[in-house]
Order: sequence, then structure tokens, then C-alpha cells
Amino acid sequence: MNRRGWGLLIAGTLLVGGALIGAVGADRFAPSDPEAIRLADALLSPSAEHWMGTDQLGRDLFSRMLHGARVSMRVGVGAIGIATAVGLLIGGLAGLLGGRWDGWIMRLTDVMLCFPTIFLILAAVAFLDNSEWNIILIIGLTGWMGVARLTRAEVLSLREREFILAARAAGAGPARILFRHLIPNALGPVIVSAALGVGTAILIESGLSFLGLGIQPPTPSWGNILTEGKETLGAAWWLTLFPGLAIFFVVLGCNLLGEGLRRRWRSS
Amino acid sequence: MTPPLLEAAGLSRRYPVRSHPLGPVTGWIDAVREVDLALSAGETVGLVGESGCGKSTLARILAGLIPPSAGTVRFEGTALFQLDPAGRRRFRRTVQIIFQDPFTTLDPLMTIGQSVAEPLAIHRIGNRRERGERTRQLLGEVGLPPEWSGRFPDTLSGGQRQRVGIARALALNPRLLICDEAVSALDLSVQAQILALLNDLREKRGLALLFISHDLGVVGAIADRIGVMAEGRIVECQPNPALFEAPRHPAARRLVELALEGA
Repeated sequence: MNRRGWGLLIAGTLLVGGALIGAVGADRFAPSDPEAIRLADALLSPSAEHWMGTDQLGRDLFSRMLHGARVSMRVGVGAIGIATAVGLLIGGLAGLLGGRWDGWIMRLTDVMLCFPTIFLILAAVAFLDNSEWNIILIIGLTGWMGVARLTRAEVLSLREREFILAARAAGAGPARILFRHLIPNALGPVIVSAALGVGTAILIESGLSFLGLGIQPPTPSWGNILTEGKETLGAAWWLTLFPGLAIFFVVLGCNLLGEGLRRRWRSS
Repeated sequence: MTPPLLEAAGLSRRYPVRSHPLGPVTGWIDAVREVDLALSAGETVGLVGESGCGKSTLARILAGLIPPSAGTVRFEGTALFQLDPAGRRRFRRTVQIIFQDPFTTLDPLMTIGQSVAEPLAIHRIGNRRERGERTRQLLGEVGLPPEWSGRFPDTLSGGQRQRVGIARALALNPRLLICDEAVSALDLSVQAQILALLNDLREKRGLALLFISHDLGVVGAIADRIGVMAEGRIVECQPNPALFEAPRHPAARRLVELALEGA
């Protein structure tokens, strides 16, 4: 039994699970409307009434953080969902078809991998309106290359296994081989990379929102709360500390979860 | 005269050599060269050769897994690689193959019942319940407890997995079973059990076997006729005991000496 693997898994699950519960139950847990402006209560420091204080417009930061968690989780999970699906399909096809097809598909993947992703995302966001769905789509469609390479490597090693040959000898078509045998057997390492990827996607969304290109105010996201907070950094430390800590711990949680899964996988 | 069950003529398979996947072809490797081979219904033909002589490539061509570069494969007189997809599917049902490595022959994520039933599912034979029934029957036929159908491969020994592989190959009621090094990875006692099972199936089902191995001793235990392969060609072919007494080709002599030393 690999104890350390379990420790990482538990720590990761607690961190990510906490954020998930906050996100799902935001309506229930939030003490007030995250977008309700009360100028009289502007920039109050953390207290029993406002656990994380209030911002320039007197909005309750704790409520905004909970609703921001929603955005972060949706973007993180949604974008990685898209990236994983695209990567599995492209990597699976490259490995299954082999030869020249494999060569061309993987060169395309390498080309995509060479682009500095953040500039690609910035360029795409400049042309599309920055709705949450578009941001999920853009992060997802620029993040599939790692999964594709991973899947291809797995498929290449699986392809010559005898159970694949037996299925082909029995008359199985390429779709059945890919979806019934190759992808399920390649899924282990891909799930590990997806857990790590959720953290990265949350960071990218926060970065975009921080630059003003992500989720638009007044809808709260951890990134844009941070941006608004930096204007009053000297007077109200809580407006940058809490979103910063939230991003830090959730990304840490994703990484712990991914690493824990990886160790469990390797020891099995 | 009825045509033989399987007849291969002038079969060749060559592979291009490239320095990288998108690069130009810099050479060719001839894995199989102009092989002629015929097999009648119910007959067991052995094929021996050292590793790298092209046995497995030949087995895969005959099983329809890879196309030959040249030559024809006729099955009961019908040319295999000129068939339309529907004809191919029919062919799939009459020729099946079992492999060497018991640890990769079954999908680790499928129960052995699912593995055995997969050929039936592919050909849409019967409903789920009927396939389950047939699967248990097949497991019984290869000497495994039918109630193991829900087990996963990692709970089985190598010999038991090989039996599952045989049950899967029998699911479509083939007329020819190609055994590609089917017992090479097993212990001697388990080897003998699997050989006995194949012999038994051959008699009960009237199954033709193409039994491929690097070990002439194993082939001698089951084959009616033995072909010797070297460098992609069949260099010699004789009835079973005769080959042991008078091997002509140097490769055949080497294999006979090895087999007699081992005995």
C-alpha cells in the first residue's frame, strides 16, 4: 500500500472538494447578493458580519468569492473536458491510423504546441466576445496537445497487443477498436493529466480575467476580483489576499490530486 | 475435385524502411517471400522456423489482419483480398486466430465473458442473454468453469487465459484456427494440456489447424504435415514423422537437431 499516494489524494480531494462545495452551494452559503452594491459599506475589513470584508462598492467579498468559485470550477472542468475529449480523439486516431497519418497529425500537434498558448488565447479572445462559454472553448481548444501526445503513445503501445489483433480478426471495425479497447485502456494516464490540467485552466482563466479579457464585471471571478483589488492594495489587503489564496489552494489541490492519482496508478 | 479449404499462392509481404515517418523510402524488408501453402478441411499443418523467419507475418496475412504485397489467398476457392466488405465479414467467421502471449491476449478491462462474447456482439449474433448462454457453453468447451464468465483476466493463470483466447476464437464456429506460437509462453505441463485441448477440438469440430511455432517438438506432437520456414520462404514441407527422419534443407536439419536434443 502506497501511503503517500493516499495522503496526496486526500489533501487534494479536500482542497478541490471544498472549492466544489462552495461553488455548487454558492446560492445557499453566500450571506448576501454578490452583485448588491452598498456604497456606505465600502472597503470594510474582515469582521463577523463580512467574513472577508467588502470591496470598493460595498459588496460582500465572501459572497463574491463563492460565486467566483463557480466560474473557476466551470472553466477549469469545462475547458479540460473539451481538451481531454479532443486530445483523446486526435491522439487515438494518430496512433490507430499510424504511418503517414500519424506523422501529419503529430506534426500539426507539434505546431500547436509551439505557439505560446497565452498569446493564442489573447488573440482569440480579441476576436470573440468574452462570454464564459467562449473562454471555456478557447482554453479547451488550445490545451489538447498534451493529452493527444499521451494518448498516441499509449495507443501505439496498445495497438499491437494481441487482444486488439483478436478483435480485428473477429471483424471489429476501427471505431469499435478505438472506443471499446484503445481509449479505455489509455485512459489512466490521461485522467492524471486532466487533474493537473484543471489547475492550469483555472490559472489561465484567472490570468485572463486579471488582464480584463476574461469574465466581465460585475459577474465575479477570482481573477477579476483580484484585478479590482489591486487598485486598493495599500488600503484593503483582503481584496487581493483572499482571491490569491483561493487560486493558490485550488491549483495546489488539483496538482496534489493529479500526483496522488499518478502514484496510485503506477503502484497498481 | 473440391478446392482446398485454404490455398495461398505466391504470397509476399514487404515493409518499406524510412528514416522518419514522413521521409522517403530508403529500402525494403521482405518478411514473406512467394509462399505457396494449401490446407484441406480438418487437416493440421505445422509451420516451424526460427524467430524472424516470417511465420507471424504469414499467420497474420492468412488471418486477414494485414494484406499481402503480392499473391492471393483463396478460401474455398474465393479470393480473400478481392472480397467486398460483406464477403470479408463472412470470411472473418471461418478463420480465427489465437496468439502467443497470454498476458496481452485479453483486454484487461473486460471480463472474460465479455471477451468471449465480443465476436458474437460484433456480428450481432443473438441478444445479450443468448450471447451469455453461448459464452458459458464455450467456456465449458475449453475446460473452464462457466461461472467464471464474470471474472477479470488478472485472476487467471497463463494457461487459463490461453483457454479463454481459444473460446473467443471458437465463438464464431470457425473452420480454420491459426495458432501463432499458441503454447510457446506456457510451462511444459500446461503446454501439453493446451495441445490436448486443441487436438480434442479438432476431432470434435472437424477444425483445421495451422499450427505455427519455433519449436519443432511441439509441432511434431500435433501436425499431420510440417512446413519449414526460413528467410520468408517455405523451404521444405513433409508429412509429420518423415521430416524428423530425413530433413533436407539446412534450416530443417537444424530444427530437427534442436528438437531431438530437447526430447
